Amino acid sequence: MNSETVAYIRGVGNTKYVKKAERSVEALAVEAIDAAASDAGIPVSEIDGIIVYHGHIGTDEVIAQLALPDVKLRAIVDIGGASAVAALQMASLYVLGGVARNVILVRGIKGNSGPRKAQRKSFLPSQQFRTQLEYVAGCNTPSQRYALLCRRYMHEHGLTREHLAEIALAARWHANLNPDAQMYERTLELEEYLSGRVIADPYRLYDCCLESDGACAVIVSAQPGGDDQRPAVAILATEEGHADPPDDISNRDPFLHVGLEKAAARLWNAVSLGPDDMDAAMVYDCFTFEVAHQLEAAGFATPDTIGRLILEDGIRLGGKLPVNTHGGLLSEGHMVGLNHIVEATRQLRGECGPRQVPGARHIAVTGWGNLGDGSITILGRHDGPA
Amino acid sequence: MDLRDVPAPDLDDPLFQGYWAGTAKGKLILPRCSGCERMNWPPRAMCPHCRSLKFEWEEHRPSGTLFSWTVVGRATAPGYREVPYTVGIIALDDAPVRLMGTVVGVEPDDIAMDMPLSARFTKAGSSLEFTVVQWGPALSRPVSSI
Repeated sequence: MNSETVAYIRGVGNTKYVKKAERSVEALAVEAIDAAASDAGIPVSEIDGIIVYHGHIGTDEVIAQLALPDVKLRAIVDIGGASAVAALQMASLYVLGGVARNVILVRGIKGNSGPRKAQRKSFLPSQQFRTQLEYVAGCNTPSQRYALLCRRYMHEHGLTREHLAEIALAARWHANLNPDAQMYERTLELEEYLSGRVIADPYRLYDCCLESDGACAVIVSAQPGGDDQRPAVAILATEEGHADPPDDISNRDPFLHVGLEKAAARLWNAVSLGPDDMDAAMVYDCFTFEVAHQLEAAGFATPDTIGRLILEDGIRLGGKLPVNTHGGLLSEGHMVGLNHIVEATRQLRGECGPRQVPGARHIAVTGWGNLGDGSITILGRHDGPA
Repeated sequence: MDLRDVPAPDLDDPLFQGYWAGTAKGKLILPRCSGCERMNWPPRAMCPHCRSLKFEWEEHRPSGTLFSWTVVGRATAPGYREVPYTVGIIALDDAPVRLMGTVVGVEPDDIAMDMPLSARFTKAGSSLEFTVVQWGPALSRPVSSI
Protein backbone atom coordinates (compact mmCIF):
# COMPACT_ATOMS: atom_id res chain seq x y z
CA MET A 1 0.00 0.00 0.00
CA ASN A 2 1.16 3.49 -0.73
CA SER A 3 -0.94 6.57 -1.17
CA GLU A 4 -1.02 10.24 -0.37
CA THR A 5 -3.08 9.36 2.65
CA VAL A 6 -1.06 7.45 5.20
CA ALA A 7 -1.68 6.04 8.62
CA TYR A 8 0.47 6.82 11.64
CA ILE A 9 2.00 5.06 14.56
CA ARG A 10 0.18 6.94 17.25
CA GLY A 11 1.62 5.25 20.29
CA VAL A 12 4.04 2.54 21.40
CA GLY A 13 4.68 0.79 24.69
CA ASN A 14 6.58 -2.10 26.19
CA THR A 15 7.60 -3.85 29.37
CA LYS A 16 11.20 -4.52 30.21
CA TYR A 17 12.31 -7.76 28.57
CA VAL A 18 13.51 -10.38 31.02
CA LYS A 19 14.33 -14.08 31.33
CA LYS A 20 11.69 -14.66 33.95
CA ALA A 21 8.79 -12.34 34.63
CA GLU A 22 7.12 -12.74 37.99
CA ARG A 23 3.79 -11.72 36.44
CA SER A 24 1.25 -13.34 34.14
CA VAL A 25 1.31 -12.84 30.38
CA GLU A 26 -1.92 -10.88 30.78
CA ALA A 27 -0.31 -8.52 33.29
CA LEU A 28 2.64 -7.98 30.97
CA ALA A 29 0.32 -7.21 28.05
CA VAL A 30 -1.78 -4.82 30.13
CA GLU A 31 1.34 -2.85 31.06
CA ALA A 32 2.46 -2.61 27.41
CA ILE A 33 -1.00 -1.67 26.12
CA ASP A 34 -1.54 0.93 28.87
CA ALA A 35 1.84 2.41 28.03
CA ALA A 36 1.02 2.54 24.31
CA ALA A 37 -2.36 4.20 24.93
CA SER A 38 -0.81 6.70 27.28
CA ASP A 39 1.91 7.38 24.71
CA ALA A 40 -0.82 7.91 22.08
CA GLY A 41 -2.69 10.25 24.41
CA ILE A 42 -5.91 8.24 24.28
CA PRO A 43 -7.86 6.28 26.87
CA VAL A 44 -7.43 2.51 26.44
CA SER A 45 -11.17 2.29 25.79
CA GLU A 46 -10.64 3.96 22.42
CA ILE A 47 -8.75 0.95 21.10
CA ASP A 48 -11.23 -0.64 18.71
CA GLY A 49 -9.12 -3.01 16.61
CA ILE A 50 -6.60 -5.71 17.60
CA ILE A 51 -4.01 -7.68 15.62
CA VAL A 52 -2.06 -10.37 17.46
CA TYR A 53 0.14 -13.38 16.76
CA HIS A 54 -0.03 -17.12 17.43
CA GLY A 55 1.26 -18.27 20.78
CA HIS A 56 1.15 -14.77 22.27
CA ILE A 57 -1.72 -13.18 24.16
CA GLY A 58 -4.89 -13.51 22.07
CA THR A 59 -7.45 -10.98 20.94
CA ASP A 60 -10.24 -12.02 23.31
CA GLU A 61 -7.82 -11.97 26.21
CA VAL A 62 -6.85 -8.41 25.28
CA ILE A 63 -10.52 -7.37 25.04
CA ALA A 64 -11.30 -9.00 28.38
CA GLN A 65 -8.20 -7.84 30.27
CA LEU A 66 -8.54 -4.23 29.14
CA ALA A 67 -12.37 -4.27 29.24
CA LEU A 68 -12.42 -2.78 25.76
CA PRO A 69 -16.03 -1.71 25.16
CA ASP A 70 -16.40 -1.80 21.39
CA VAL A 71 -13.76 -3.67 19.39
CA LYS A 72 -14.83 -3.72 15.75
CA LEU A 73 -12.35 -6.17 14.31
CA ARG A 74 -9.64 -8.57 15.31
CA ALA A 75 -7.12 -10.53 13.30
CA ILE A 76 -4.07 -12.74 13.43
CA VAL A 77 -1.42 -12.13 10.82
CA ASP A 78 0.35 -15.46 10.62
CA ILE A 79 3.51 -15.28 8.58
CA GLY A 80 5.86 -15.85 11.48
CA GLY A 81 8.35 -13.09 12.12
CA ALA A 82 7.13 -11.22 9.05
CA SER A 83 3.75 -10.74 10.73
CA ALA A 84 4.38 -7.59 12.75
CA VAL A 85 5.46 -5.47 9.79
CA ALA A 86 2.82 -7.05 7.54
CA ALA A 87 0.21 -6.15 10.18
CA LEU A 88 1.09 -2.47 9.73
CA GLN A 89 -0.33 -2.80 6.22
CA MET A 90 -3.54 -4.35 7.49
CA ALA A 91 -3.90 -1.86 10.33
CA SER A 92 -3.30 1.04 7.94
CA LEU A 93 -6.05 -0.20 5.65
CA TYR A 94 -8.43 -0.60 8.58
CA VAL A 95 -7.94 2.91 9.94
CA LEU A 96 -7.82 4.62 6.56
CA GLY A 97 -10.91 2.69 5.47
CA GLY A 98 -12.79 3.88 8.53
CA VAL A 99 -13.38 0.40 9.91
CA ALA A 100 -11.61 1.20 13.16
CA ARG A 101 -9.95 4.26 14.66
CA ASN A 102 -7.17 2.86 16.81
CA VAL A 103 -5.82 -0.57 15.92
CA ILE A 104 -3.40 -2.08 18.40
CA LEU A 105 -0.73 -4.63 17.50
CA VAL A 106 0.23 -6.66 20.58
CA ARG A 107 2.84 -9.25 21.51
CA GLY A 108 2.93 -10.72 25.00
CA ILE A 109 4.53 -14.00 26.01
CA LYS A 110 6.56 -15.80 28.63
CA GLY A 111 8.76 -17.18 25.91
CA ASN A 112 11.72 -17.92 28.15
CA SER A 113 10.28 -19.03 31.48
CA GLY A 114 7.29 -20.72 29.79
CA PRO A 115 7.40 -23.39 27.06
CA ARG A 116 10.40 -22.82 24.76
CA LYS A 117 10.27 -22.60 21.00
CA ALA A 118 10.92 -26.28 20.28
CA GLN A 119 8.21 -27.21 22.81
CA ARG A 120 5.56 -24.84 21.48
CA LYS A 121 3.09 -25.76 18.76
CA SER A 122 4.40 -25.19 15.25
CA PHE A 123 2.37 -22.80 13.16
CA LEU A 124 4.44 -23.39 10.03
CA PRO A 125 2.55 -23.94 6.77
CA SER A 126 2.21 -27.34 5.06
CA GLN A 127 2.66 -29.43 8.18
CA GLN A 128 2.86 -32.56 6.00
CA PHE A 129 6.25 -31.37 4.73
CA ARG A 130 7.43 -30.92 8.28
CA THR A 131 6.41 -34.45 9.30
CA GLN A 132 7.18 -36.21 6.00
CA LEU A 133 10.45 -34.52 5.12
CA GLU A 134 11.97 -32.71 8.10
CA TYR A 135 11.13 -34.43 11.39
CA VAL A 136 12.18 -37.82 9.97
CA ALA A 137 15.57 -36.25 9.23
CA GLY A 138 16.01 -34.76 12.71
CA CYS A 139 15.21 -31.22 11.63
CA ASN A 140 12.54 -29.43 13.65
CA THR A 141 13.68 -25.93 14.60
CA PRO A 142 14.16 -22.62 12.78
CA SER A 143 17.87 -22.61 13.72
CA GLN A 144 18.40 -25.92 11.93
CA ARG A 145 16.43 -24.96 8.81
CA TYR A 146 17.98 -21.53 8.45
CA ALA A 147 21.48 -22.86 9.17
CA LEU A 148 21.07 -24.72 5.86
CA LEU A 149 20.47 -21.40 4.10
CA CYS A 150 23.34 -19.76 5.97
CA ARG A 151 25.85 -22.47 5.05
CA ARG A 152 25.00 -22.27 1.37
CA TYR A 153 25.13 -18.46 1.36
CA MET A 154 28.55 -18.52 3.03
CA HIS A 155 29.72 -20.94 0.35
CA GLU A 156 28.32 -18.99 -2.60
CA HIS A 157 29.07 -15.45 -1.49
CA GLY A 158 32.06 -15.64 0.81
CA LEU A 159 30.27 -14.54 3.95
CA THR A 160 32.36 -15.59 6.98
CA ARG A 161 32.05 -16.04 10.72
CA GLU A 162 33.60 -12.60 11.07
CA HIS A 163 30.52 -11.11 9.43
CA LEU A 164 28.14 -13.14 11.56
CA ALA A 165 30.12 -12.11 14.66
CA GLU A 166 29.79 -8.41 13.90
CA ILE A 167 26.02 -8.76 13.56
CA ALA A 168 25.83 -10.38 17.01
CA LEU A 169 28.32 -7.97 18.62
CA ALA A 170 26.65 -4.88 17.15
CA ALA A 171 23.29 -6.05 18.49
CA ARG A 172 24.76 -6.57 21.94
CA TRP A 173 26.55 -3.24 21.89
CA HIS A 174 23.26 -1.53 21.11
CA ALA A 175 21.42 -3.49 23.80
CA ASN A 176 24.00 -2.32 26.32
CA LEU A 177 22.64 1.19 25.62
CA ASN A 178 19.02 0.13 26.12
CA PRO A 179 17.80 -0.26 29.73
CA ASP A 180 14.72 -2.24 28.63
CA ALA A 181 16.86 -4.88 26.90
CA GLN A 182 17.20 -8.36 28.34
CA MET A 183 20.98 -8.09 27.76
CA TYR A 184 21.36 -4.46 28.94
CA GLU A 185 23.97 -5.32 31.53
CA ARG A 186 25.58 -8.25 29.71
CA THR A 187 28.41 -7.33 27.38
CA LEU A 188 29.59 -9.69 24.66
CA GLU A 189 33.14 -9.85 23.31
CA LEU A 190 34.40 -11.63 20.22
CA GLU A 191 36.11 -14.38 22.19
CA GLU A 192 32.91 -15.28 24.03
CA TYR A 193 30.95 -15.14 20.79
CA LEU A 194 33.38 -17.54 19.12
CA SER A 195 33.28 -19.97 22.03
CA GLY A 196 29.48 -20.19 22.06
CA ARG A 197 28.25 -23.77 22.01
CA VAL A 198 27.00 -25.20 18.75
CA ILE A 199 23.24 -24.96 18.30
CA ALA A 200 23.02 -25.78 14.59
CA ASP A 201 26.36 -24.99 12.99
CA PRO A 202 27.13 -22.45 11.51
CA TYR A 203 24.80 -21.13 14.22
CA ARG A 204 26.33 -21.08 17.65
CA LEU A 205 24.75 -19.74 20.81
CA TYR A 206 25.26 -16.04 20.12
CA ASP A 207 24.04 -16.33 16.54
CA CYS A 208 20.60 -17.19 17.90
CA CYS A 209 17.89 -14.86 19.13
CA LEU A 210 16.84 -14.73 22.74
CA GLU A 211 13.65 -16.10 24.11
CA SER A 212 11.99 -13.55 26.34
CA ASP A 213 9.29 -12.79 28.84
CA GLY A 214 7.62 -9.49 28.11
CA ALA A 215 5.13 -7.58 26.00
CA CYS A 216 4.97 -4.66 23.61
CA ALA A 217 2.26 -2.82 21.71
CA VAL A 218 1.89 -0.42 18.79
CA ILE A 219 -1.20 1.69 18.07
CA VAL A 220 -1.96 2.55 14.44
CA SER A 221 -4.36 5.38 13.68
CA ALA A 222 -5.32 7.86 10.99
CA GLN A 223 -4.57 10.47 13.66
CA PRO A 224 -0.86 11.31 13.85
CA GLY A 225 -0.71 11.80 17.59
CA GLY A 226 2.24 14.20 17.39
CA ASP A 227 2.28 17.73 18.68
CA ASP A 228 4.62 20.71 18.93
CA GLN A 229 6.80 18.72 21.27
CA ARG A 230 6.88 15.47 19.40
CA PRO A 231 6.99 14.62 15.69
CA ALA A 232 4.47 12.13 14.30
CA VAL A 233 5.59 8.88 12.73
CA ALA A 234 3.98 8.03 9.40
CA ILE A 235 3.72 4.58 7.87
CA LEU A 236 4.86 5.63 4.40
CA ALA A 237 4.61 2.28 2.65
CA THR A 238 4.42 -1.39 3.60
CA GLU A 239 4.73 -4.56 1.53
CA GLU A 240 4.83 -8.29 2.17
CA GLY A 241 6.11 -11.02 -0.15
CA HIS A 242 6.18 -14.80 -0.30
CA ALA A 243 8.95 -17.06 -1.52
CA ASP A 244 8.41 -19.52 -4.39
CA PRO A 245 7.32 -21.81 -2.83
CA PRO A 246 6.61 -20.35 0.61
CA ASP A 247 6.30 -23.69 2.40
CA ASP A 248 9.57 -25.50 1.60
CA ILE A 249 13.18 -24.31 1.61
CA SER A 250 14.89 -27.39 0.16
CA ASN A 251 13.90 -27.06 -3.50
CA ARG A 252 13.73 -23.33 -4.18
CA ASP A 253 15.46 -22.24 -7.32
CA PRO A 254 17.50 -20.19 -6.71
CA PHE A 255 17.94 -21.79 -3.31
CA LEU A 256 18.44 -18.47 -1.51
CA HIS A 257 15.39 -16.75 -2.97
CA VAL A 258 13.10 -15.23 -0.30
CA GLY A 259 9.83 -13.33 -0.21
CA LEU A 260 11.46 -10.09 0.91
CA GLU A 261 12.92 -9.67 -2.59
CA LYS A 262 9.42 -9.27 -4.00
CA ALA A 263 8.21 -7.07 -1.17
CA ALA A 264 11.24 -4.76 -1.36
CA ALA A 265 11.02 -4.43 -5.15
CA ARG A 266 7.40 -3.30 -4.84
CA LEU A 267 8.21 -1.04 -1.89
CA TRP A 268 11.05 0.92 -3.48
CA ASN A 269 9.02 1.19 -6.66
CA ALA A 270 6.15 2.76 -4.73
CA VAL A 271 8.07 5.48 -2.90
CA SER A 272 10.39 8.27 -3.93
CA LEU A 273 13.02 6.98 -1.52
CA GLY A 274 15.72 4.35 -1.84
CA PRO A 275 17.82 2.27 0.53
CA ASP A 276 20.45 5.04 0.67
CA ASP A 277 17.83 7.41 2.11
CA MET A 278 17.31 5.25 5.18
CA ASP A 279 18.92 6.58 8.35
CA ALA A 280 18.73 3.18 10.04
CA ALA A 281 17.24 -0.26 9.52
CA MET A 282 15.50 -2.55 11.96
CA VAL A 283 16.02 -6.01 10.49
CA TYR A 284 14.34 -9.16 11.73
CA ASP A 285 17.20 -10.97 13.43
CA CYS A 286 16.09 -14.44 14.44
CA PHE A 287 19.69 -15.45 13.66
CA THR A 288 22.74 -13.47 12.64
CA PHE A 289 22.80 -14.58 9.01
CA GLU A 290 19.17 -13.57 8.43
CA VAL A 291 20.25 -9.95 8.95
CA ALA A 292 22.79 -10.20 6.14
CA HIS A 293 20.36 -12.10 3.94
CA GLN A 294 17.63 -9.50 4.40
CA LEU A 295 19.91 -6.49 4.01
CA GLU A 296 20.73 -7.96 0.62
CA ALA A 297 17.16 -8.98 -0.27
CA ALA A 298 15.88 -5.52 0.73
CA GLY A 299 18.37 -3.75 -1.52
CA PHE A 300 20.83 -2.36 1.04
CA ALA A 301 23.65 -4.42 -0.43
CA THR A 302 24.46 -7.01 -3.06
CA PRO A 303 26.07 -10.38 -2.41
CA ASP A 304 29.33 -8.67 -3.37
CA THR A 305 28.96 -5.72 -1.00
CA ILE A 306 27.17 -7.21 2.00
CA GLY A 307 30.44 -8.12 3.71
CA ARG A 308 31.76 -4.59 3.30
CA LEU A 309 28.54 -3.05 4.61
CA ILE A 310 28.78 -5.14 7.76
CA LEU A 311 32.50 -4.88 8.52
CA GLU A 312 33.67 -1.65 6.90
CA ASP A 313 30.78 0.74 6.28
CA GLY A 314 29.32 -0.29 9.59
CA ILE A 315 26.02 -1.41 11.08
CA ARG A 316 26.58 0.06 14.54
CA LEU A 317 25.52 3.50 15.69
CA GLY A 318 27.75 5.92 13.82
CA GLY A 319 28.16 3.54 10.90
CA LYS A 320 26.70 3.93 7.42
CA LEU A 321 23.56 2.01 8.30
CA PRO A 322 22.83 1.52 12.00
CA VAL A 323 20.97 -1.79 12.31
CA ASN A 324 18.80 -2.80 15.26
CA THR A 325 19.73 0.02 17.60
CA HIS A 326 17.59 -1.56 20.35
CA GLY A 327 19.56 -4.81 20.25
CA GLY A 328 16.99 -6.71 18.23
CA LEU A 329 15.83 -10.25 18.88
CA LEU A 330 19.47 -11.16 19.45
CA SER A 331 19.96 -8.90 22.46
CA GLU A 332 16.90 -6.77 23.30
CA GLY A 333 14.21 -9.43 23.40
CA HIS A 334 12.05 -11.68 21.26
CA MET A 335 8.75 -9.97 20.62
CA VAL A 336 8.55 -11.43 17.09
CA GLY A 337 9.66 -8.17 15.53
CA LEU A 338 7.04 -5.85 16.98
CA ASN A 339 9.84 -4.47 19.16
CA HIS A 340 11.62 -3.43 15.95
CA ILE A 341 8.66 -1.18 15.08
CA VAL A 342 8.65 0.25 18.61
CA GLU A 343 12.34 1.12 18.28
CA ALA A 344 11.99 2.68 14.83
CA THR A 345 9.16 4.85 16.14
CA ARG A 346 11.19 6.10 19.09
CA GLN A 347 14.22 6.74 16.90
CA LEU A 348 12.15 8.88 14.54
CA ARG A 349 10.82 10.88 17.48
CA GLY A 350 14.35 11.37 18.81
CA GLU A 351 13.61 9.61 22.10
CA CYS A 352 16.46 7.11 22.20
CA GLY A 353 18.98 8.92 24.37
CA PRO A 354 22.47 7.37 24.21
CA ARG A 355 21.50 5.15 21.29
CA GLN A 356 19.80 7.87 19.23
CA VAL A 357 20.56 8.00 15.50
CA PRO A 358 21.04 11.76 15.10
CA GLY A 359 18.34 13.39 13.00
CA ALA A 360 16.73 10.13 11.87
CA ARG A 361 13.97 10.86 9.32
CA HIS A 362 13.39 7.53 7.56
CA ILE A 363 13.81 4.02 8.91
CA ALA A 364 13.12 0.72 7.14
CA VAL A 365 11.82 -2.18 9.23
CA THR A 366 11.80 -5.73 7.91
CA GLY A 367 10.15 -8.97 8.94
CA TRP A 368 11.16 -12.53 8.11
CA GLY A 369 9.31 -15.68 8.98
CA ASN A 370 7.70 -18.99 8.12
CA LEU A 371 10.58 -20.28 5.97
CA GLY A 372 11.12 -17.08 4.04
CA ASP A 373 8.05 -14.89 3.95
CA GLY A 374 9.15 -11.28 4.07
CA SER A 375 7.77 -7.86 4.90
CA ILE A 376 9.14 -4.35 4.88
CA THR A 377 7.88 -0.91 5.86
CA ILE A 378 9.26 2.59 5.74
CA LEU A 379 8.45 4.78 8.70
CA GLY A 380 8.99 8.50 8.34
CA ARG A 381 9.21 11.41 10.74
CA HIS A 382 6.46 13.92 10.16
CA ASP A 383 7.17 17.29 11.75
CA GLY A 384 4.54 19.89 12.49
CA PRO A 385 0.79 19.65 12.10
CA ALA A 386 -0.33 16.73 9.95
CA MET B 1 20.45 -42.49 17.58
CA ASP B 2 17.32 -44.31 18.55
CA LEU B 3 15.28 -43.90 15.44
CA ARG B 4 12.43 -45.72 17.17
CA ASP B 5 11.49 -42.35 18.66
CA VAL B 6 11.20 -40.65 15.27
CA PRO B 7 7.54 -39.72 14.81
CA ALA B 8 6.00 -41.71 11.97
CA PRO B 9 4.67 -39.63 9.10
CA ASP B 10 1.39 -40.59 7.43
CA LEU B 11 2.69 -43.46 5.28
CA ASP B 12 -0.63 -43.65 3.44
CA ASP B 13 -0.70 -40.01 2.37
CA PRO B 14 -1.26 -40.41 -1.39
CA LEU B 15 1.38 -37.77 -2.11
CA PHE B 16 4.03 -39.69 -0.16
CA GLN B 17 2.81 -43.30 -0.29
CA GLY B 18 5.02 -44.26 -3.24
CA TYR B 19 8.08 -42.71 -1.60
CA TRP B 20 7.67 -44.70 1.63
CA ALA B 21 6.80 -47.89 -0.23
CA GLY B 22 10.05 -47.38 -2.11
CA THR B 23 12.29 -46.76 0.89
CA ALA B 24 10.88 -49.89 2.54
CA LYS B 25 12.34 -51.82 -0.40
CA GLY B 26 15.64 -49.92 -0.38
CA LYS B 27 14.68 -47.86 -3.40
CA LEU B 28 14.42 -44.15 -3.99
CA ILE B 29 11.08 -43.59 -5.71
CA LEU B 30 9.86 -40.07 -6.45
CA PRO B 31 6.87 -38.54 -8.21
CA ARG B 32 7.15 -37.09 -11.70
CA CYS B 33 4.38 -34.98 -13.24
CA SER B 34 2.51 -36.84 -15.97
CA GLY B 35 1.67 -33.58 -17.72
CA CYS B 36 5.00 -31.78 -18.17
CA GLU B 37 7.31 -34.56 -16.92
CA ARG B 38 8.98 -32.33 -14.37
CA MET B 39 9.76 -33.72 -10.96
CA ASN B 40 7.04 -33.06 -8.39
CA TRP B 41 9.09 -32.61 -5.19
CA PRO B 42 8.15 -31.95 -2.54
CA PRO B 43 5.01 -33.60 -3.79
CA ARG B 44 1.98 -31.43 -4.42
CA ALA B 45 -1.53 -32.30 -5.52
CA MET B 46 -1.22 -30.02 -8.54
CA CYS B 47 1.90 -29.49 -10.61
CA PRO B 48 2.92 -25.85 -10.11
CA HIS B 49 4.36 -25.77 -13.63
CA CYS B 50 1.55 -27.21 -15.79
CA ARG B 51 -1.35 -27.58 -13.34
CA SER B 52 -1.68 -31.29 -14.06
CA LEU B 53 -3.21 -33.34 -11.26
CA LYS B 54 -1.51 -36.58 -12.33
CA PHE B 55 1.91 -37.90 -11.47
CA GLU B 56 3.77 -41.18 -11.71
CA TRP B 57 6.18 -42.85 -9.31
CA GLU B 58 9.62 -43.35 -10.75
CA GLU B 59 12.78 -44.95 -9.38
CA HIS B 60 15.90 -42.81 -9.07
CA ARG B 61 19.55 -43.54 -8.51
CA PRO B 62 20.09 -43.15 -4.74
CA SER B 63 23.13 -40.94 -5.05
CA GLY B 64 23.82 -37.24 -4.98
CA THR B 65 26.03 -34.44 -3.71
CA LEU B 66 25.86 -32.42 -0.52
CA PHE B 67 24.24 -29.07 -1.28
CA SER B 68 24.15 -27.70 2.27
CA TRP B 69 24.28 -29.00 5.83
CA THR B 70 24.08 -28.15 9.50
CA VAL B 71 25.77 -29.89 12.40
CA VAL B 72 23.15 -30.00 15.12
CA GLY B 73 24.61 -29.50 18.58
CA ARG B 74 21.48 -29.01 20.65
CA ALA B 75 19.08 -31.92 20.60
CA THR B 76 15.48 -30.94 19.88
CA ALA B 77 14.05 -33.60 17.55
CA PRO B 78 12.46 -36.83 18.81
CA GLY B 79 14.68 -39.77 17.83
CA TYR B 80 17.73 -37.55 17.53
CA ARG B 81 18.89 -37.17 21.11
CA GLU B 82 22.56 -37.91 20.45
CA VAL B 83 24.45 -34.86 19.31
CA PRO B 84 26.22 -33.81 17.25
CA TYR B 85 24.54 -35.16 14.15
CA THR B 86 24.33 -33.69 10.69
CA VAL B 87 21.29 -32.71 8.64
CA GLY B 88 21.98 -32.21 4.96
CA ILE B 89 20.28 -31.20 1.77
CA ILE B 90 21.32 -33.61 -0.95
CA ALA B 91 21.08 -32.76 -4.64
CA LEU B 92 20.30 -35.96 -6.53
CA ASP B 93 22.59 -36.98 -9.38
CA ASP B 94 19.89 -37.96 -11.84
CA ALA B 95 17.07 -35.47 -11.23
CA PRO B 96 16.73 -31.77 -10.29
CA VAL B 97 15.53 -32.67 -6.80
CA ARG B 98 17.00 -31.94 -3.38
CA LEU B 99 16.23 -34.22 -0.44
CA MET B 100 16.67 -33.50 3.25
CA GLY B 101 18.32 -36.26 5.24
CA THR B 102 20.90 -36.98 7.90
CA VAL B 103 24.50 -37.38 6.80
CA VAL B 104 26.07 -40.43 8.49
CA GLY B 105 29.48 -42.02 8.58
CA VAL B 106 31.39 -38.74 8.24
CA GLU B 107 32.89 -36.75 11.08
CA PRO B 108 31.55 -33.18 11.16
CA ASP B 109 35.00 -31.76 10.38
CA ASP B 110 35.29 -33.95 7.30
CA ILE B 111 32.03 -32.84 5.73
CA ALA B 112 32.53 -30.77 2.61
CA MET B 113 30.34 -28.89 0.17
CA ASP B 114 29.41 -30.95 -2.91
CA MET B 115 30.84 -34.18 -1.50
CA PRO B 116 29.36 -37.25 -3.20
CA LEU B 117 26.92 -39.22 -1.05
CA SER B 118 24.81 -42.31 -1.45
CA ALA B 119 21.71 -43.46 0.33
CA ARG B 120 21.44 -45.77 3.33
CA PHE B 121 17.96 -47.12 3.99
CA THR B 122 17.44 -47.35 7.73
CA LYS B 123 14.42 -48.59 9.68
CA ALA B 124 12.73 -46.12 12.02
CA GLY B 125 9.59 -45.71 14.09
CA SER B 126 8.33 -47.33 17.28
CA SER B 127 7.88 -50.71 15.57
CA LEU B 128 10.41 -50.00 12.83
CA GLU B 129 7.44 -49.57 10.53
CA PHE B 130 9.06 -47.18 8.08
CA THR B 131 12.42 -46.62 6.45
CA VAL B 132 14.27 -43.30 6.38
CA VAL B 133 16.92 -42.38 3.87
CA GLN B 134 20.27 -41.44 5.36
CA TRP B 135 23.26 -40.32 3.32
CA GLY B 136 26.84 -41.44 3.68
CA PRO B 137 30.09 -41.44 1.74
CA ALA B 138 29.46 -42.66 -1.79
CA LEU B 139 29.38 -46.42 -2.26
CA SER B 140 29.45 -48.37 -5.46
CA ARG B 141 25.97 -49.64 -4.66
CA PRO B 142 23.38 -48.81 -2.01
CA VAL B 143 23.13 -50.92 1.11
CA SER B 144 20.19 -51.65 3.33
CA SER B 145 20.52 -51.88 7.07
CA ILE B 146 18.23 -52.47 9.98
